[in-house]
Amino acid sequence: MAYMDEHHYLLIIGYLEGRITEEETQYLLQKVQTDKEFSDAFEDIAEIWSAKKAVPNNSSKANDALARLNKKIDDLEAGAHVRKNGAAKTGQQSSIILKLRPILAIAASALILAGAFWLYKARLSNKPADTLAMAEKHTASGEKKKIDLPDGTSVTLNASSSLRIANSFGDDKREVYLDGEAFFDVKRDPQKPFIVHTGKIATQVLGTHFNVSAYQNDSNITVSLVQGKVQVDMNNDPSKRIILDPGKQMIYSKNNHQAHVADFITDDITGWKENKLVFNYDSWPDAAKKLSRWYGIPVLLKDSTLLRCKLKGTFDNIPLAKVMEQIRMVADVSWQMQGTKVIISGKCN
Amino acid sequence: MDDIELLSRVKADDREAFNSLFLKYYPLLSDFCRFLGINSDDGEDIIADVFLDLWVKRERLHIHTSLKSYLYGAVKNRVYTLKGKNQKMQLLPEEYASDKAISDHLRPDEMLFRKDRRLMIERFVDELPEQGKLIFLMNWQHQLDYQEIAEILSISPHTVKTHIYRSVNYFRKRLLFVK
Repeated sequence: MAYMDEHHYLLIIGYLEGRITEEETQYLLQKVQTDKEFSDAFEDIAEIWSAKKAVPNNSSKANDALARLNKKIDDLEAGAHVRKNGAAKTGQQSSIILKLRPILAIAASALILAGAFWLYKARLSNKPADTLAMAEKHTASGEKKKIDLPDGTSVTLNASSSLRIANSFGDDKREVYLDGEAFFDVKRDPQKPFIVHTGKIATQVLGTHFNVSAYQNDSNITVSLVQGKVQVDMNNDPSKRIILDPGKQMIYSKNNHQAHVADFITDDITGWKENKLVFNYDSWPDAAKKLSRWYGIPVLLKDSTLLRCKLKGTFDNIPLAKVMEQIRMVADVSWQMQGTKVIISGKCN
Repeated sequence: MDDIELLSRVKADDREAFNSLFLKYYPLLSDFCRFLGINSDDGEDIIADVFLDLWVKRERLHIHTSLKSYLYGAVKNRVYTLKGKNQKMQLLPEEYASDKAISDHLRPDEMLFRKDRRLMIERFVDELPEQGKLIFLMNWQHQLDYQEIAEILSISPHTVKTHIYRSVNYFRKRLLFVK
């Protein structure tokens, strides 16, 4: 390990905390890709920064402390008031200030605290002004498409997905908008960052191969990195920035707006490119959506008890009936065709 | 509402705004007390004292920096006064000690085996010299910038940067060891 100068360390830290300018960011991105010492340092510092824990926030403790403080202030002001009226007991004010720990704890619930929490309004839109003029590529259910972008990047689009390419693509950034799932093999160009927008999540590429799954009706957005480095931003909030290492994926829940990072097995995530239908501990509702996108027919769940189970398995490009037969045997469910629909029922263990 | 607006409401006797400020800063300041080696009961007293002072002096209070720097700085001053008076305060708080115990019985290679890099980095933080550790935690965990840390601790921003730089170098050396 070579020692680097202070300026470069502070630049990397500034980047991870979202404090540096656009110009400095471009300099850093270029450095990461061209200077081995710098990229080693970047990796180490990113690891140190990702190990950071949130500041413990025990709100009941804070409320208790506030209740005690308010009691103190009330006593103090009552005392001051009495004194003003000429009937004060001397020394009351100072004795209250000195008495640091009140014996009585007042129930926190007695306090009504309006406006105690700040909700940072997420900037709702981060779309550039020229979104009107964009090229768009779609896939139907059961269809996959390989798209070659003008910069040499190749995108494999999974079923029922669409990729919009910003009109300004390649000017100073390379921005695309994804609904659905795609695997990106991004051509390196340190001058022009490649950014995939999926709702509130923006994935900026520092390296090369990654998969993004962001179907509008799925409950999660998943960004999985196979090779290189990517930076994932949520709601344009740099304090929530995540830098992914290879073999790691970020799973963002649209329900509670929380993200976590997990390991993944490459074939589970990119199997679809090789025509493998992969269920990776998918919930039944997600699995049903996947089946219906894959085979292009509606798949419905009849029993709510199915919600309790998850499905894991890989199927090589085989017909729907065979897949359903195998699932039936393993997962203790039954299925039938009703017209063009597949109906799945069962209790699942 | 940002700090400036909340503070101007406090100056206009608004207890609701005062409560909001307290709840916003209590977790941060209480964690800051922990960095300074103060147990949570003493920490609560110190923070309450700072806020009581803020309320009592609200009309004639002039804050030259930011409210955030003012609060951290006031807590720091009280902690230093208390530490000067009472050497017992230097004992590490219990919750801190137990964290240490968990990581202490693991050797670096065992931690690597467990892939618990996070725990390892926490341990490295613990190994920093006192002032370096305080500055690093203020920057890393509390996201205070170099200028704010300098104001709070009454040192120069240059010194703050040097400490951060040294800490990062130290971590990298330790990380290299377990790679």
